[in-house]
Amino acid sequence: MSKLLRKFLQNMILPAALLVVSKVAGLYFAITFFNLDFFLETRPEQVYSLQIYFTNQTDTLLASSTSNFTMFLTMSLMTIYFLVKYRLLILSAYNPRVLVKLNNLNLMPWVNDKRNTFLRVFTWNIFLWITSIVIIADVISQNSFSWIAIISFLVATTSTWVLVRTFEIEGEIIYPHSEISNLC
Amino acid sequence: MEIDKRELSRINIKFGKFFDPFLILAILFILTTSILAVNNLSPRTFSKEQMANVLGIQEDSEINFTLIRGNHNYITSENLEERGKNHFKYTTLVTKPPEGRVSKPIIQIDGLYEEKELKILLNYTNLNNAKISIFDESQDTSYILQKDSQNYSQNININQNTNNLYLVIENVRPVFFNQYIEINFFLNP
Repeated sequence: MSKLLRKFLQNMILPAALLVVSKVAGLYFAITFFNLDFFLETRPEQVYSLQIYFTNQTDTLLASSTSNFTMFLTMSLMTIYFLVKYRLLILSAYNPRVLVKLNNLNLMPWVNDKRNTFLRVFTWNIFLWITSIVIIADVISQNSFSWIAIISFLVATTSTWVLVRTFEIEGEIIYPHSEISNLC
Repeated sequence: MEIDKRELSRINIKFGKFFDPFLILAILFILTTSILAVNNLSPRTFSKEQMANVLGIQEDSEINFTLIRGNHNYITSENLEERGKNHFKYTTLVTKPPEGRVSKPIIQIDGLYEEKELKILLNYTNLNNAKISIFDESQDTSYILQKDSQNYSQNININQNTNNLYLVIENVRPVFFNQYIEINFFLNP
């Protein structure tokens, strides 16, 4: 069995579960906090037969936006956490000053976690993009506020860019290149 | 234990490549399932048509249909919409109806000077096991719209004595989720 595929599958379970759980939590928070009336409808002809309905567009917009924002916040915070951890690990191998600083702050054990790999951050990044695309689709169907889609797109783009730059540094460590000064 | 690990490793090397397509399928399954689940959890508005919410206004008829609002424990989020000439749609959200009978006056009819026929049609409900009826207070008569999961349309005669119509819901067991009801009223000229 491919080790890469196995690791990829293992890394996917938590973000996939968190994606759904955060969406449900956001929906529950919106319904409870704003005291919204909803009802459930079963549609056997669809893939997922259960659908949540509100009786007016305002309630739908509020509930959808709140759940989307909660989902985005959860996924982006987790992705940024792992991204920062990964970047610190790579920079510590590349830049001695970072290594010394991490050592002084007693963060080396945290950074040196064996599961702190590019594959894990890449997986979280994929799910951050899924979050962003789902929110954009909701905005297009006028079910969510547009600013949430804009922020999620910007965060996803930025995190992807940082991940790519960090991976380039890691590649540079393994395969040194003459133009090393441009990477940091 | 050492021998088992070596045996497993040998099996993995020999047959492991045949499991790779299943791993790829599993990855695609998790991706697809999470996307579909999140997309389906996005709430929708049940009726996407613009609610006119014009109550009791007629084009050229003298008859007025007015939504009777008011607080009720179970019948909430009421709306009466004029869909066309002499055509009204009443919608309500029934919040977790209990076992037994629940009723509320919903529509007040006035401005009638002669007898007219009113057709009442249960357009939609997900309260499938309940008995839903309209009660005419002036005639002291109930008109069943749904019973034993069967829908019935009713033609009732209304006149100047007709005042309030009640929505009556009877459940044999409590319902733990909110339910939605849509009723159409057609006034025959």
